[in-house]
Amino acid sequence: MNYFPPKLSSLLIFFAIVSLPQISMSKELVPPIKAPDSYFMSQGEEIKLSEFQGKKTILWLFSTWCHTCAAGVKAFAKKKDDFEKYNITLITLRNHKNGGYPGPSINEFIDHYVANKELTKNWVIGETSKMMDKQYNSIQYPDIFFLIDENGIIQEQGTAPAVYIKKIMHFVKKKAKTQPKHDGKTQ
Amino acid sequence: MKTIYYALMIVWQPISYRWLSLLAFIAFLILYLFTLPSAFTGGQISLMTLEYLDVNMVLLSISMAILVALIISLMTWLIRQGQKSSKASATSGVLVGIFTPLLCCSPLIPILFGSMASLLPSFIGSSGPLFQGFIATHQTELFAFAILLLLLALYQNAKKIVQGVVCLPDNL
Repeated sequence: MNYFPPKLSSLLIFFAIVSLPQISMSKELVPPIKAPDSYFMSQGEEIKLSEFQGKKTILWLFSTWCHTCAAGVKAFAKKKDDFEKYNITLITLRNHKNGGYPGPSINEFIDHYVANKELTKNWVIGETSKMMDKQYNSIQYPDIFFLIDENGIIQEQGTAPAVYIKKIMHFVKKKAKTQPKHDGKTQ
Repeated sequence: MKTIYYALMIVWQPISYRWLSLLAFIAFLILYLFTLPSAFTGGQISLMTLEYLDVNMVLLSISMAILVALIISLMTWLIRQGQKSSKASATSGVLVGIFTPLLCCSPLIPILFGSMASLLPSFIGSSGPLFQGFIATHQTELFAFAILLLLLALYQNAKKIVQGVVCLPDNL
């Protein structure tokens, strides 16, 4: 039985199709754009995102139930020495309330997937505030990453960092070629 | 099991149906091998997806591809005999098997639910993560359900073939 008259159902479909890209575009931070200041919780402390300005930052928001996020943590763990070498801050944050579905804590998740369980000093872990969730992940993606340059401008955004690890490494090494962190060794 | 065995003995008499089963198996094996690991790539399917394959996924892909290949040959035989085949459980089994990894972690659901929330009450917008979280944490059960549906489809179609042959002895 058809409960909708043909014209009404056509109208609904049309409206859904038309509104789909507008909604996704209107709520997202479309790069290049200044990264809005916000805060997150890490080891019981409230940390402002603006504290990291002046350094290239990878900001990654994810839920601990998501398989893509497990692959992302593994991919980042493999590159953690490169991030330290190029003085990149990696901020990995569990979505506020884990994106609305229960799952392991951020510490349990990282411990499970990072092989030697030793984070570099440039790797910050924590949980987003509700405000940050609204600013950076209003669409409620299971995961979303932002590549933020030294000036606090979001240069790229995407999901599934494991898939885009080459692109991320390009961002990491791009400008750092001119100013890599000096490791103290002489050739 | 006997019903399925007898049905396959009937259907596989012409070599063309054995070839059809083999080709369907290869096609669906490739499809599943690329689709199942897409849970780790945010629903993206490319050669990179294969990097996330593990033994369990390969075994699951082979199992589902075998079942689908058998169902396709039985259904084709039934249709060519002018009989009705059982499509619902077969289609559902294939769809559950394919969409479970595709939808669990891709951005598609949040965008879709987000757009629905603008048309319908706001709780729909927040139910996207619930839906994805459920799929992601119940993948094993969903794959088991897909296999059960495929087994049911295989049995239903096999039963029709065997019963049809009993009713029409000339077909033997």
